[in-house]
Amino acid sequence: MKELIIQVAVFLSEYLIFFYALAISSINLLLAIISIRETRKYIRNNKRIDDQAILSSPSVSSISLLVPMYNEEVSIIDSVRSLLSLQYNNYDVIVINDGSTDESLKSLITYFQLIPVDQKTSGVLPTRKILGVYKSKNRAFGKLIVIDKLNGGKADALNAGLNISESSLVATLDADSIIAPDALLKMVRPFLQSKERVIATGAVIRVANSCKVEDGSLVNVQLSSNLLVRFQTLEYLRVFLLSRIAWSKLNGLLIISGAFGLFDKEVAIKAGGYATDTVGEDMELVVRMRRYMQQIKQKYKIFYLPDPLCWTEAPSELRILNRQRNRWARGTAETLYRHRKVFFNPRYGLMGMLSYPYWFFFEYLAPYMEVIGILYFISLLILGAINWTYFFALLALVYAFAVFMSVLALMAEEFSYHKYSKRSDTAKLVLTALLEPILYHPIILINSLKGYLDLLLGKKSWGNMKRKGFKEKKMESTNRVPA
Amino acid sequence: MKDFLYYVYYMAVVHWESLYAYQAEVRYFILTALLLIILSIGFVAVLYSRRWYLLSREKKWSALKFRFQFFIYDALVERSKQEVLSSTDLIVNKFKQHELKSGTEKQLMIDLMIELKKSFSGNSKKQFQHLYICLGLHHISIAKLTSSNKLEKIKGIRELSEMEYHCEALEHAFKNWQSCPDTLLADEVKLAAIRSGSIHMLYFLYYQKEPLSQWLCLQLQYHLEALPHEKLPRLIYWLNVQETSSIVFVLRMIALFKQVAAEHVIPLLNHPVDEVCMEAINTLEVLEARQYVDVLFNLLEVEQEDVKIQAIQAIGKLGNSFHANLLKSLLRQQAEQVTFAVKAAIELIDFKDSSNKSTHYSITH
Repeated sequence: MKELIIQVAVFLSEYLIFFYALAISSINLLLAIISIRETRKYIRNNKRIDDQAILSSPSVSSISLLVPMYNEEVSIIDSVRSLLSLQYNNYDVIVINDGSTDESLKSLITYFQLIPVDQKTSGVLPTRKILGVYKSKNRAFGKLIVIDKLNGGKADALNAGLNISESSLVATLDADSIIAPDALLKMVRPFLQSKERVIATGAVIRVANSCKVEDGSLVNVQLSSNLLVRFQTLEYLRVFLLSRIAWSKLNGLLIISGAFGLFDKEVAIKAGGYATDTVGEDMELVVRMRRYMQQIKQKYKIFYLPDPLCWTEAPSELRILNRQRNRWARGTAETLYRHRKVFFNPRYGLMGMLSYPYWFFFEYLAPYMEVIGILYFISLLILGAINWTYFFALLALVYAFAVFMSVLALMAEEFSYHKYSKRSDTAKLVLTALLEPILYHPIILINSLKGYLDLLLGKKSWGNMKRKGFKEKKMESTNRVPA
Repeated sequence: MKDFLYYVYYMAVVHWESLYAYQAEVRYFILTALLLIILSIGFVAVLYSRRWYLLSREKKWSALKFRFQFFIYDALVERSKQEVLSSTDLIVNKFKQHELKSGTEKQLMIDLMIELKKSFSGNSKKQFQHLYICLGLHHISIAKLTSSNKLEKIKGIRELSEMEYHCEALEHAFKNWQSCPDTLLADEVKLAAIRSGSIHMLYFLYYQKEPLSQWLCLQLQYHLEALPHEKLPRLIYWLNVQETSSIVFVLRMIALFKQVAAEHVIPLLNHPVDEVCMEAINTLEVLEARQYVDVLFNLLEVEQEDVKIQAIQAIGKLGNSFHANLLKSLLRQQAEQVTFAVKAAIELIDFKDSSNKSTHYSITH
């Protein structure tokens, strides 16, 4: 009996891990091919589109930019100034101060000459108490609305913004994100062009660390000298250029990054707005919106644009990265658990039969599978039963595949938007690709597992995500330190 | 070199044979890993060569652009001095001989001219067109229309319409491709037809079966607004189109350009689709068709509240005190939203009356 159990365990470990690895690699490769094809098609078709008509039309869909703010004193003025000068005719910027304990609100009031106004909110979505609504007495900042409310978390702040917005579309973005001047023009295009109802659009997010930022706008793209940031740069390229675009093509997207997304307000509100009891509110909302559309039996689409329209600050310190990845893992697990009814449920169409299972098997379970693999290797090591040739051959294959995918992402970037134009940048990124599987991947693995454990222990907090702000980064770009 | 290649070949054969010493899975792993590594190295090589190519192309193109720009301004200045036309021809011929040799250079010139043309108006704009023809660039654009590549066709259509060059091939495209199944091409043709002021503009509306996208409507409106008034199409011809969004679009354009007499819009008030009916009311409102306020009262009998409210609002804007009194009779029996609209309309009529009286008073005194 004992022998049989051991044999079954060995069989499962050996073949399960092998076939799992084979499946994940094949699917990722397939997604990469679809993504590259779609990106090329998108660029070709949109090359000569003239946005002047949308830019000059007053009857184009109105957009509210929701910017939740919590202790963003360092960067908020620059961010808001940049947001107020976007290329779009019909939008407003709603900054929601989520009970900041620093001088964020005060600096906004002083700089933008804000005065309290009596603005009604729809109150459809429950939120913490609104302390006040401010508008500028200066006409130049007429598009700006600032909400001051008690601290309730990012989701609660976004719900307050959804309540006050009078636009048909809402864009959500982090206060430290920098968006391209034509971002709204591009993001709104699928809403205007598609025959089916579009409920959300997202765009490629890039790492802004070390880039030159002036007045809240990106002036010059530079690759960070910090190795940890470079790992993330490469990771973002891989995820966005080789995966999300393919999911968009398949209409199977389950996430629009919280850093920047544009949503149909009506659907977002009818789906119940942002969930305040999860740390993965961005993914959770998208899944809920999709479920809502399936329930009302209306055809819909979610688009992801390959345009790099949003630049965000990636953690440059290990402890902050640990917190972020821990939170992301918890958010994914929470959302998947909350919407477990969707799992292989044909009622939910593509989401139930493809997107959700993919996320469950290849995003959520991936860290567990790696742990099983490592434990199996250790047990074989202890028993002295390792076939070293087999082991090294498999290791070489896994490593070569990881590097290949990163290089493929660099190729996709080169042939699409070509943002890292220096030759030395390519060399650095290739070197980063060689080091990533050895140095960076274990960090992500450990944090994902820790996130799952924290979720089991009932941890709900976001953790302190202290930002450096872009002013400091300008110094970083001039005073380069070897990584 | 020969020895080195032989050595590589020898090593490959030796290693290939030695691979057979391993079990099959190991062999496949090693071979796949090798393949991936070779591909990765290849990709990196492509990355670098492309970067090198782009840099050199950029340098070459910026130099060319500078020369071309200089030529264009030179030719424009010469042409503007009417008396020395031969001097312009001299410049053009010299330029054709020495500069515009390859297809890439010609294409660069076309792109540059389209780009520069946007910042000019009136006579200077026409000079661009003349230069485009003098340099023979229109042949390149026309040739693109026969290409099997859809994007090339689009490019050709855009170039010809941007340069306002009229030819049979382009008119043929306007006539036949506006309703083609490829939306990208069809949309480009629809817009180009307007840009060129073609007789075939808005031709597709007759055959439109699917709803027009908001994006296309905005683009069409933008291009129609850019047309000189005399080139605007007679929108009355499209009032009998079948597809709902197309009629709505036509009505909006009628309201925008105030082109059609209100009597032609009246039949659409009985349209079975509410959206069309509401747009027709809105159009009458914009056209300030005061003589048809009585017709609007007929719409207060309909069941659809949206249509009713829209009609009440229009009556409020167009009506007088007589109509206000008629509206008052509606106050009791209607739903809350309708009552609210009626009150607002009566208030608006009263306000207009009082402001008219005060204007009259200030004029007479």
